[in-house]
Amino acid sequence: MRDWQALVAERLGALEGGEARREEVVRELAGHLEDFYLEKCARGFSQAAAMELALAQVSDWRGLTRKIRLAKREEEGMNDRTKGYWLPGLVAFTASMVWLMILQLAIPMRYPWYATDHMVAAHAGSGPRMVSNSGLQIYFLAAPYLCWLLAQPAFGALGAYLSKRGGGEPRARMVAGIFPSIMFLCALSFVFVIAVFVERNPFVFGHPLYFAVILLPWVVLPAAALALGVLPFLREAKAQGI
Amino acid sequence: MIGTGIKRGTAELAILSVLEDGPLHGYELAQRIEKQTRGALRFTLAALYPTLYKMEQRGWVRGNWETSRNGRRRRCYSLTSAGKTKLSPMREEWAELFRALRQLTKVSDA
Repeated sequence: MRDWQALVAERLGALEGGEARREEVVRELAGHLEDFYLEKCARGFSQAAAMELALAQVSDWRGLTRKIRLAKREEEGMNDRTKGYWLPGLVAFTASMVWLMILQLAIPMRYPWYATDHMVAAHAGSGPRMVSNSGLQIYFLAAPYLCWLLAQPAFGALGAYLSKRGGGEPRARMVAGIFPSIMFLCALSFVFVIAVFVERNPFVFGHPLYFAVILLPWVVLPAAALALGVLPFLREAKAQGI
Repeated sequence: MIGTGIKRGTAELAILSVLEDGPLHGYELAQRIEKQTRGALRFTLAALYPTLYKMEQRGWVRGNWETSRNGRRRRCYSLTSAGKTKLSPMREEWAELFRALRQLTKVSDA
């Protein structure tokens, strides 16, 4: 009886991830060759001919080692989810936040950042004023906020483009594109949960629509703007590569 | 006989499609593909395992060691939910490609 594992172990080169990992691959490839050999013998081939055919399964062991090494290395690299969702989403989010930061530094006006002030104040329990109609008007008229909002399609497009390049499906492209809004929603939800369930903030209980009002300018409108930038990247290319 | 380039492109689709019917170990997988394509697609060991490992790292298939009745341990591959999700758009893409090629080359199924 042939020692197929010894045969493979002798020919297969070193793999990353330690000897245990290599042994696993050796055992699997040896099992395949043994199955192949036994099947050929059962079909009437001589043992020598069956052996020759089995060995012909791999013409270049160094090439096979290299291919396995590359395939296994994908684990350490980025997987599809990272390339399709996380990385493009984080790039879009970072770009959007950097733009917001630049605007805040460049135009240090109080009113345009009214909602942020309210949110922080509510979290601190200092009882800020209710967002008024005039406050909402400020959102839509304030130049810095509009500058930030108008740039969102570009960030959405950036996320979707990177996702598409990373092999992301249309759904992944959309998620990556609107990721900045998803992050805003998560942050606001976190503050809301803390304010309601941990601090039991009297201001929040007194103004149940407070967070809903904040969601409109900081989540809903940016999400719509980001989605606008994503749209051109949702179409699948008609051309196919072989 | 189908050329090497096209075979490489179809490898992942073939593996996912065959595993859709149930878990198989590597040799069975190669046999099944060869049988179902009447020999048009043949996987040698050197072609099959790098593809399988790559698909495993991508999370499309999962390999588990199992012991058969004769006591031999084999690695059985099954389709993951990510693999199932991948299969559907992949099929559509290839169907579209085949339609386009049929139109281009005026080759019919008959």
